[in-house]
Amino acid sequence: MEHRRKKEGLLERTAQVFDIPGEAAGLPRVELTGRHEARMSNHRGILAYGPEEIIVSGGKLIVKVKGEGLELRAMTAEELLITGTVLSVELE
Amino acid sequence: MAASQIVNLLRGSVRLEVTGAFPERFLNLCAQRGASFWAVEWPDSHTLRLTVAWKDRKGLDDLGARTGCTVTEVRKTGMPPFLLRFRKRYSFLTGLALAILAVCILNRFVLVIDVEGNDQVPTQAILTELRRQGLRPGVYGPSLAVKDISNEALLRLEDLSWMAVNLRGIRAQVVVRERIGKPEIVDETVTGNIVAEAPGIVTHLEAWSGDAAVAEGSTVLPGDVLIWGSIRMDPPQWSENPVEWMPVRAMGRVEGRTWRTLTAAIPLTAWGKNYTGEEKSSWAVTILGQRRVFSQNSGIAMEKYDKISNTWNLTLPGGTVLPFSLRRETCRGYETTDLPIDPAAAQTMLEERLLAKLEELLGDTGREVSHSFSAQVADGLLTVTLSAECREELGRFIPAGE
Repeated sequence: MEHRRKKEGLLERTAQVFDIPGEAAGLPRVELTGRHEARMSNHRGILAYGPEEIIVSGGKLIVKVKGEGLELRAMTAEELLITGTVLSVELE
Repeated sequence: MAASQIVNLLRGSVRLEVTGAFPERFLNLCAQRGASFWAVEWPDSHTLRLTVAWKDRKGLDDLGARTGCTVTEVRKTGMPPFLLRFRKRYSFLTGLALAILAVCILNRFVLVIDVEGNDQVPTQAILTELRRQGLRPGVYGPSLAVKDISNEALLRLEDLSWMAVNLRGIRAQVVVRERIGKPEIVDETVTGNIVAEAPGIVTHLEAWSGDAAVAEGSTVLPGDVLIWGSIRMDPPQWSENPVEWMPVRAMGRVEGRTWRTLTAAIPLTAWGKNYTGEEKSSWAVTILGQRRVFSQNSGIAMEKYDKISNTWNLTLPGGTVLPFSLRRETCRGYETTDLPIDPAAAQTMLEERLLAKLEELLGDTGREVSHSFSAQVADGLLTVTLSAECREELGRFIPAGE
C-alpha cells in the first residue's frame, strides 16, 4: 500500500512537471454536473455507501460525496456515476 | 418506457442481496470484473442490494465467496429468465415444437383449392377433373407438376380455353378462361321458305332474302308460307323469254300478334310424410379427403326414411374452408299418407308454372302483352288454363322438300 501511494505521488508530480493531464497519469478525476450528478474516473473502489454519504477511494485520495438520496447509478472498474442531490464533495 | 428499460427487459436482470462484513468489496470486485450493475441500495452496513445483468450473473457467487459475503437472488426479470421457466415444461415444449413443425410442413400441403374465372363451366366439374389429375386437398404441393396438370385438365374440359394453377402455401389458385362459342353460321346454300309457326296476325314483315308471301295485317295459320324462298326474275322488256324463279334461302323477320293457350292440371290430394319418430344417426370425419365413418348404418330397418346430413367444416377466420369436416347423417323413418292440398296454393303454383312455360316458348324474340287464367275442379283434378296475347316472331325456316 505504501509503495502504491509513493507511486501515485510520483505520478502526480510527473504530471505537474510535464504538464500532462492528471487523469492521463492515472489520477482520480471528479466531475460534477449541476447538483444531481457526480462522475468519478480512475477510482479505486467504494469504501462506504449510504443515501447521505458515499465514500470512494481514489488511491491517495478519499473522496466523500455528501448529499441527499444519493445513489450509485453505475460503476465500472474505471468510472462510477453517483446521482441524487449532491451537497458537498470532500477530499481527504 | 425508456429505451434502457426495454433493453434491460430483453437482456434480463437479476436483483441480488449481498450480506457480509464488507459488502462494498463485492461491489468493487463486480466493477473490476466488468459486471454491469445498477439500482444499488444499502439497507444497512452489512447488506447490499443491487441489480446485475443476466449475462453477468454467472460467477458472482464466487465473488461473494471471495469477499465473505452471501449472495441471494431476490428477483429475476426480463426475457431470459421468463424463457427459462419453460425449460422443464415438456408438454409446452412438445406443443411448441409440433406447432412449428405444423407451420413448416403443413403449409407445403394443399388444403384449399380456389377456382376463379369460370361462369358457365361448374366449379365442381373443374375440381373433379383436377382431382383426376392429382390436385386435391391434402396433396403434397412440391410434388405436383402444375403445368402438366393444367394442360391435361384443359384437354379434358372442352369448354375451357386456358388454365393456370398457382400454388401459394396451402392454397391452390386455379385460374381459368372459358371458351367463347362459335357464332351460328347460316348455310345459305340450303334453300327453303319461312312459314308460320303459330296462328296470328302479321304486324310487321321484312323480307331480307326471298319474296313476301303475305302482307301486314294478314291472318296466318301454322304452316302458311310467310316468305317464299325464291326470287322472281323477269325477262328483259319485249323479250319472249319466260319468267324465271331463282331459289334462295328465305330470310327475314315476321312479327305478329298471337294468342296462346296453355293448360296444366294437378290432383287435389298428394302423398305426404308422417314421421314415425324412429331415428338413427351416424358420424363421419373427413380429413384431407379421406372419410372415416365412426358408426355404420347397416342395421336400418326402416322401410322409408329421410336422410338428413349436417356437415361442420373447419373454417379459418377469413372464411377459408379447410379440408377437415365432421358429418352427421340422421335417418328419420316415415310413413306415407294421402293429404289434401290447398287449392289456392296449388292454383298459384300452376299459374306460376304456366307463365314460366309461356316465357320459355316466347324465347328472346317474343313478349307477352296480356294474360288471364281460368281454373276448374273436376274429378279431384285442378285444371288451370292460361290465355295470353303475345307479340312474337311468327316465322320459322323450313328447308325445301320438307
